[in-house]
Amino acid sequence: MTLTTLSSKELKPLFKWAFKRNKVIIIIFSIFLFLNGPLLDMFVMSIAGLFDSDFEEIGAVSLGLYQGFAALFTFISALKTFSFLHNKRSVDMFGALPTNRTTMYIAHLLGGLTAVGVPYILLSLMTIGITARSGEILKLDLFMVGTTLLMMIASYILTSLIAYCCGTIVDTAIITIGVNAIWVGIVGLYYGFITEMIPGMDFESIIDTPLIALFAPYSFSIVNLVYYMAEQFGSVITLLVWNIIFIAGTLFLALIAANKRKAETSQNGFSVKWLPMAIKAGASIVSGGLIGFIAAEVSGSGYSNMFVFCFWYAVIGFVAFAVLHLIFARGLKGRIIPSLIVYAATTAAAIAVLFGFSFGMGIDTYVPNPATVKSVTFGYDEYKDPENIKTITEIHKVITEDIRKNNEYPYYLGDDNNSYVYYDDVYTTDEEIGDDYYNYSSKNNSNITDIQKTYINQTNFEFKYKRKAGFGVTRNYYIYLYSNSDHKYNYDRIYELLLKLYSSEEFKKMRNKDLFDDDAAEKVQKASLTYYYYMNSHYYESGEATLPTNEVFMTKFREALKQDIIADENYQPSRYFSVYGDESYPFIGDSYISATISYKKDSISSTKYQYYYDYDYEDTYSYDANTYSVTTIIKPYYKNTLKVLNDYQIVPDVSRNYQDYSYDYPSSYYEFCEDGRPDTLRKLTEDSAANFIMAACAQNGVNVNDWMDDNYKAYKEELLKKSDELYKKYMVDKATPDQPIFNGDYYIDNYIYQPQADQILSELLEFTFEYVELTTTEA
Amino acid sequence: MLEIKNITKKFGDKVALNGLSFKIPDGSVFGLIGSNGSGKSTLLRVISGVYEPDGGSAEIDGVPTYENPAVKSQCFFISDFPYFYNNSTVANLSVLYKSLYPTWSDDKFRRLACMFPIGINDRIINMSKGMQRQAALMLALSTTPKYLMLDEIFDGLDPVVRQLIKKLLVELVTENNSTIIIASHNLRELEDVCDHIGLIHLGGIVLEKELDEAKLGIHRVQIVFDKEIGEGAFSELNVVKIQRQGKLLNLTIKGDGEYIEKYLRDMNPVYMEMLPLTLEEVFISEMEVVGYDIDNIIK
Repeated sequence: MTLTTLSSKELKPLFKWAFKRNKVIIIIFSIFLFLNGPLLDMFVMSIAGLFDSDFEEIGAVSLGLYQGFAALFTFISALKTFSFLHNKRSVDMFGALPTNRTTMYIAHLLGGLTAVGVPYILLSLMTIGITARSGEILKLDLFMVGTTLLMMIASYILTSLIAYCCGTIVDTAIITIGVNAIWVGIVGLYYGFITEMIPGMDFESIIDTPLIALFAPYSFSIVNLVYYMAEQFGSVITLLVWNIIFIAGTLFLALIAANKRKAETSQNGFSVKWLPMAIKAGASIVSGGLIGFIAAEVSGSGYSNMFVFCFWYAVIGFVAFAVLHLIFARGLKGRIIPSLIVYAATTAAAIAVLFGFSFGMGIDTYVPNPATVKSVTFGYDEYKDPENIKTITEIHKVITEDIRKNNEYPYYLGDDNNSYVYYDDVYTTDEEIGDDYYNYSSKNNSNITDIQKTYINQTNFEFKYKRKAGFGVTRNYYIYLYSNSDHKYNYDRIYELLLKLYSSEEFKKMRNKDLFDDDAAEKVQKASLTYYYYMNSHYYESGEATLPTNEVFMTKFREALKQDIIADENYQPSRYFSVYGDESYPFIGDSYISATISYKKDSISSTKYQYYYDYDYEDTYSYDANTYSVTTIIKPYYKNTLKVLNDYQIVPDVSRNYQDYSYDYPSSYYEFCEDGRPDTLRKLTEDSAANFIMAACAQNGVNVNDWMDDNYKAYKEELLKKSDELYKKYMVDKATPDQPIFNGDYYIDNYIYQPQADQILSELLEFTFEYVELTTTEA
Repeated sequence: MLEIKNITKKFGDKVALNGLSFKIPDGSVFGLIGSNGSGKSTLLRVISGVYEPDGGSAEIDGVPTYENPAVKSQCFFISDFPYFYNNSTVANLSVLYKSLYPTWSDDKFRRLACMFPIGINDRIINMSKGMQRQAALMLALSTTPKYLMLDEIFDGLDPVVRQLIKKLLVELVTENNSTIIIASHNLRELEDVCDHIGLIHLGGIVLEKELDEAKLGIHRVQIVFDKEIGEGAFSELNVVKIQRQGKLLNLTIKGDGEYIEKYLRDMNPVYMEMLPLTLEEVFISEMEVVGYDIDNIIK
């Protein structure tokens, strides 16, 4: 068929006519927007004593309402504007007017859109103006206004298309709501099914895709709002691009419908005969699927759930189908047999799809071919190196094979553990591994692989593939480490691949973006060195040193650090406390030297961006009003870096033997005490000792000052010997997480095993009493 | 000239117009009559471009009216129930029509506004049925249409307004050489104003000719014989209907009047009188021919 051409001569009067038809809507819509926009802003700003959180809450609710009104009035206006199609008499009037159908359609569309678009733009600009003056209640900006306008256009055109396909305004309203709700429902159900049944699929990924809004433009406003609030601008852009495609597509279809619609359709059914059937089938799938899904979820676990789903799907699906049939056919008449056939076919298809999902349909074992992958985000980093992409796909493959081999198969509804992988823990504890346990784990274990395994604190493995063809693939698996597990997951292979990945240059560069940014040296504002040095559980040294920020030093230092990081064979992605764990240290806790380089704020965009989403790097990245800082651990074997620090004589004394693994820290402790350095053990011991001495003197009836004058120097020497002996006895030789010293529960408090410390203090107290008693008796 | 060319229009399985063909000369007032559901309104909608015909076409000067704004700008259609929005007034509709019809006449509109007893700024929806029709006609006449299609225009109008409208229609034809097609069951009014009639039944054309010709082609004769005359005696005449009341025969006969009169007089009737037929009688007679008469309906 051919479309008639637009005639500008008739467009103007018909446009005006359609616009004026919306006069009441314009007034009410404007009032609603004004109340919820400028007036609300002014009102809230006038209230004293509100906190920022109150403003944020009010702003979020009112923005939701603001967007909701835009969608609602778009719907109402579109129904009203195109209601002339749904009355035989008005069809007579408009059909006889000297214009063609294309002009008639475009004039009404533009008239109606202007009626809702202009108030929206004006009120939004007014709100933005007030917001700029008085603060931010309604977080509306021009970008948001623009995206919402696109949503309104898309929704208006869709409603007009449906109006041309329907004979009555009621059918138009039902089908417009139906198309939007059914699409959202079907996408939701689809995600529900695959999330519940297929390993690796994640319901949260629904928000990462504009799929839910593809054919439901009225949900654009909500999805757009969610993206916008979450600052997912990439998704907003995708949505905008799709919106434009959607607008072009529906406009073309609407023009065809406008030209093809038979005038006699008015008040008389549908001009597109399959439309009500499709809505009935869609409503049947969504309502039956939703109730069936809920019934299966609440009925427990196991394969019987699948039959619970089928039963409820069939019953509720039929009810929905029948109710809509009664509405569309105005009673029990018309195409009953074809309707029953369609119902039976959609039910069978939906159930077949469900059972298909239970066998994975190839989705569960699907791993993209690395050759087709452009990049993959794994953990927090986006890898583009083909070798790393290959490694990641291999990890993915091992997980999918492990799951298929070890988890229940076929999958079924109500089993939300399909995506979980249970790896044997290297510990003998029943506790699930958590961050707090990493730092204290298996220091004396001679098997480095086992130790390092525990440092991988990634509890979920998410794979986000971007492919060269443009389509993405996302999978998410939850990793749980359990002891005494019967599962036979291939963790060793995964670990081997992870080490390979973390040893790659690309990974190291991504984790040190500031260092590998050649321009960053000029942007250094300040730099410092921090040392944190454990002697034993009670004693540590710490301090800071300032690093020169001149370009000569900074270039050397950064270059050396880059070389050391690239050469580091044990570079791992965990927090630095965990990263730097070496089994050769006989102490609990770790020592380290770290360098913190502060750049001019916002000058290092890549690292700044990382800060916002990289939860694990809270300790490593920080910022203040003017600077953005990155902290890097200088490991004992970072010889190049340490050499630069030594050359400039800025390595702290305490760490002069940082690179010497055989260095005897316990004995050196005395030297530090003698030097008068602040140290925890000395303070602890002396404070406690003073209390012990006073208590012992009181019990033995001697003057404390007299006793101190005569005995303190000798007592102190004996006390330190005794305490060193006790620390060696309790903390060094025997204290391990899986073999706590008192055979009971242990807990961590600032890296000290408190029960052991208490025991040491208790014995020191006993020693002091005995010493005071002995010296008193001797005197 | 308006030409109906083999128009077919179906609503689902129902055929509303079935290969309809006839011509309406310019400057005529065409009375479209027919049984209920015969397709009169459907035909008007096809002519005015509201309905797309399934077959054939309605053409003005050889150009189809459907989806042709240039042709449609010469036409105006008032349906059997003119449509107005809740807030429509004659004044605001006049703005729309003035913009769309190049032949709109402000003078005529002002003159008609004085002529009809309705307020041009009153909401039309609140007016009586008859006043709504007057409003519609006022707007239609202001566009000085070349082709005016009116569906049951006389319904709900008082006799004075009916006369006024007939006068205005004649004036339109006289001044503008317009063609008016009026579909109506009010044959008495049509008889006053129409010069052509078209009779349609079940979607097909039964009769289409000048009114006078139609009336002259069918005759009612009251005749009395002094002897019993069988119906076979009239076999040479095209007798449509015979009614007996004792010896008085009422004959409805198609054909040339002079020939019929001579033929019957030759039969030496005691009494004979040829009576003129009204349009209604023509209608009934013609419909009886196609089997649409009260006896058939009762059966």
